[in-house]
Amino acid sequence: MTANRSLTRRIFMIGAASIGGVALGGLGIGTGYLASVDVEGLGALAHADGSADLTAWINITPDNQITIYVPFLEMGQGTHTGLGQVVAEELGVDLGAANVTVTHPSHELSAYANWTMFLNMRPEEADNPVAWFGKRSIGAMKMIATGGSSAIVGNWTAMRHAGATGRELLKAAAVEKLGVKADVLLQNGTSFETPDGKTRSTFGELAALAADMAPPSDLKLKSPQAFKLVGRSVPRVDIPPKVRGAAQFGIDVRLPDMVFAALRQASVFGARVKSINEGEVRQRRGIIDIINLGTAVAVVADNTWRAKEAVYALDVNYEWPQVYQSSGAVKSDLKRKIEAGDFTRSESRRDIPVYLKRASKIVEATYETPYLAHATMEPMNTTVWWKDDDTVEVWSPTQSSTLARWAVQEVEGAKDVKVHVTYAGGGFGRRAENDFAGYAAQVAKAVKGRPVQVVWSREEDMQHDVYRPGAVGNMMAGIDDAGKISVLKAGIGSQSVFASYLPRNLGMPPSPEMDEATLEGILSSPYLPEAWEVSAVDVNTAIPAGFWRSVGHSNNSFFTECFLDECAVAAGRDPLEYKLAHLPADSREARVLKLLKDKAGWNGPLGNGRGRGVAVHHSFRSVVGTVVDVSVDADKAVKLERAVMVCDCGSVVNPKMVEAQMQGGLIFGLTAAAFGEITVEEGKVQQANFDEYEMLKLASAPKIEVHILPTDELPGGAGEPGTPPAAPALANAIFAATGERVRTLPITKSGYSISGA
Amino acid sequence: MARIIVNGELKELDVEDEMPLLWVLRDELNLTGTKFGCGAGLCGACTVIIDGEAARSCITPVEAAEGSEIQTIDRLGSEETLSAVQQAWVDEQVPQCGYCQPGFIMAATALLEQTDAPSDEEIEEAVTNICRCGTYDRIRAAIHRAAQLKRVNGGQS
Repeated sequence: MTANRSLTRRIFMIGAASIGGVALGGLGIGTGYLASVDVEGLGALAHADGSADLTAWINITPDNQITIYVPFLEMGQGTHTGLGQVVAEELGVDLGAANVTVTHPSHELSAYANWTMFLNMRPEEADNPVAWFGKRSIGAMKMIATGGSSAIVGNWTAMRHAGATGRELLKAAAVEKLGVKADVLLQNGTSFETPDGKTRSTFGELAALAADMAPPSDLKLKSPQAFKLVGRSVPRVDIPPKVRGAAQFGIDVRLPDMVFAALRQASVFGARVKSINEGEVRQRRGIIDIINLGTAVAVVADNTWRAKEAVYALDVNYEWPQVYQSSGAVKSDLKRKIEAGDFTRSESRRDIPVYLKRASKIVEATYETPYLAHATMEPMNTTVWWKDDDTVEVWSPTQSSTLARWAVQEVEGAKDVKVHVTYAGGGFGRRAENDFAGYAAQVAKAVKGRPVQVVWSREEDMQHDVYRPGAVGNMMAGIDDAGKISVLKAGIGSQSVFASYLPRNLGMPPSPEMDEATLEGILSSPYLPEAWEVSAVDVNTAIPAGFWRSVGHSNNSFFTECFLDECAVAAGRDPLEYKLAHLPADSREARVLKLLKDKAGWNGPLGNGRGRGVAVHHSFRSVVGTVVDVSVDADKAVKLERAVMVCDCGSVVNPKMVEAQMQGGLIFGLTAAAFGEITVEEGKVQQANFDEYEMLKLASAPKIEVHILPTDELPGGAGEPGTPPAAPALANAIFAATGERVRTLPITKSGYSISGA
Repeated sequence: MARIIVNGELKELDVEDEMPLLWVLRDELNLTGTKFGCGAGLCGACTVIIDGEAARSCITPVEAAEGSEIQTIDRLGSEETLSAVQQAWVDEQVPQCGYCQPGFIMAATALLEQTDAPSDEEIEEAVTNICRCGTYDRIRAAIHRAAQLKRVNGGQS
């Protein structure tokens, strides 16, 4: 989820409107309005109960409970631990201590706004007027959001400052309270003590006083050599409750007098519920209400199962759409437009025909990828308590509490909406949507006074997802006498994720010009030679498209990394060496590939029927290279023998978590390449559950080795970059084993299966 | 009326015979450790142990568990004392999102009751749950570690 200039402009407009609102209020009470949008969050505040916020990210109570606020959804990526480490490091506390907790805040502050993701700008680079205004615009919107592998990137510096500010404020308070000089004061866990160790004050005893201290004028951050937590595989804070089944996911929220609801959305995209023939359903045991939500029907009951059985027993009449969507039609449209050169966007350098004519060899290939579902293990759900006074409390596993709040506020009459963010059973971009919160709020209003948990069945979740769009990649290269690519042409056809997402979630008009996903990772490809042309083709469809782990990179890495492999073969060269020869020697990609060659034993022996494939891709400020080894038998059963990955994701906060994210990203990408395909026929998604949308399992998944390239650079993303190289590494390995090119995903389309599945 | 023994406690419940055990546990008994993933016995997030065998509670009607001993993640260990499998899961830092892990832990617990030191192949055959975060390598390592821990503890899980 990154933004281009056009999108940024639109966000500024919304943000400016918000600031305008603040401005009017500000003028009324005579304060400067921009100063009120505190995006730095380094202020401190004492509360009446004796607790204090020391910056936006640290809260300390008088009984010395320390809470670190991480405004990002913990959906498996480890962000509560990673950012917790960063704050705890500078604050000088142990993340594993019993009195230190990390949690997603339920309050909203400008400092929590994820402007790094929306502006696609590192804080360390945000020193111009555009950044200044952008930060305050997104800040005024209090746009809390998790995505774009941005949490560490965007908060590495801010949260170090927060921890250090907290430490300095507490230290200043200790100097005053204990009556000793700062340079002799000793910190011992969560307290300060005098040099003789005789007098001490806990953080809790100092917090309120600390909030009144002058903020440090020249903040000193720890030097990396002094780090005790950052850079180490500190145990994750969320694991102990997760192994006991005690961690609270959205679906685990339990409230007094709570009821449960099941949802049944119109199976055809664009259909509306005309009427419901209830029959005997309302008289069934435990049924509380049957509700028409316009595009769905909900049944509220005293048990989720009773609600689900009832909702599918209803006879629902629909108003059918004028046009029925079809994924096959989308694909043919894209191919036709690419052939006709009907581009929505095209960029080029130098005279392509001249270069093509000069080339000694032309290589051309067309690749295809399908629509894909997210299939998070925890299906979509949200719990809403619409109280009798119309104030509303929400519990949601959402990637954006702001979007969830807006969706609830859309329901007429909702007041003072407060969103609590729970743990999430996976996210991968699916939870950056507002639909699950919006539906739940509508249901809650109908049963006002009682909290209701709306849980989607697996079938609802899979058939009403927002899909990674399928794409077509038409690639052409001219190869010169020396075997090098001298000209490259890429025509990429894909439904625009942004044009689908923005109207649905941010109320913006659809516009193909705002798309950033279709060409991401290819327009910036380090392989682009002297002459190149990169073009995009769009398609008009109402199939909902969404952000899916690594977004456009998931398609474009497949196209470029497979095509380079084909060019290498055409030039009679080793694929890995060929890729290296086309990369600047000092590039991050080249460094990753060189280490990967060594770690994977690229030139090591392979048995009969075996093949080894390689891919490298830069996304979300990180570079990941992957080697996959397969064996393929006579029946085209592919065994995923092993995978080796090398990543350069800048400075690493927690190596074990980066390793897990790389493995996870790879499994996610391999699963899709192996089996993943969502098809839409006559407006309806054809796959409904894991028997039709398969997953890699213990028996079919490869063993994965991860190596982290050491570097002192600023941190890059880790959640998404492991996914893009997966599919091309697999397809290239199958070619190496069989001599057959798999240009269409999933590989089952070419008659392959996965052994062990 | 269903009579089941859940984590050692007899429960008498006035529910429909065909209500899946999963929803009896989650919505009637408020034992939310057992997760809903697919409702079709395909993913294993709802795995519990019924009379010593791993079972998918989302496709087990409560009447099929009548009189049975059901063990769920909620009481497998306590905050102070984790079971060997849970401890191995912490040691190997297995979970990412963690949603599927109660099912994996119950499946592994049942496997280790039957096989002291399972091979990779035995693990892969017995544990067919789905993890979307890709924790498989660590799950395999954790099951081997749990088998070791159990041996050290004299067979105690």
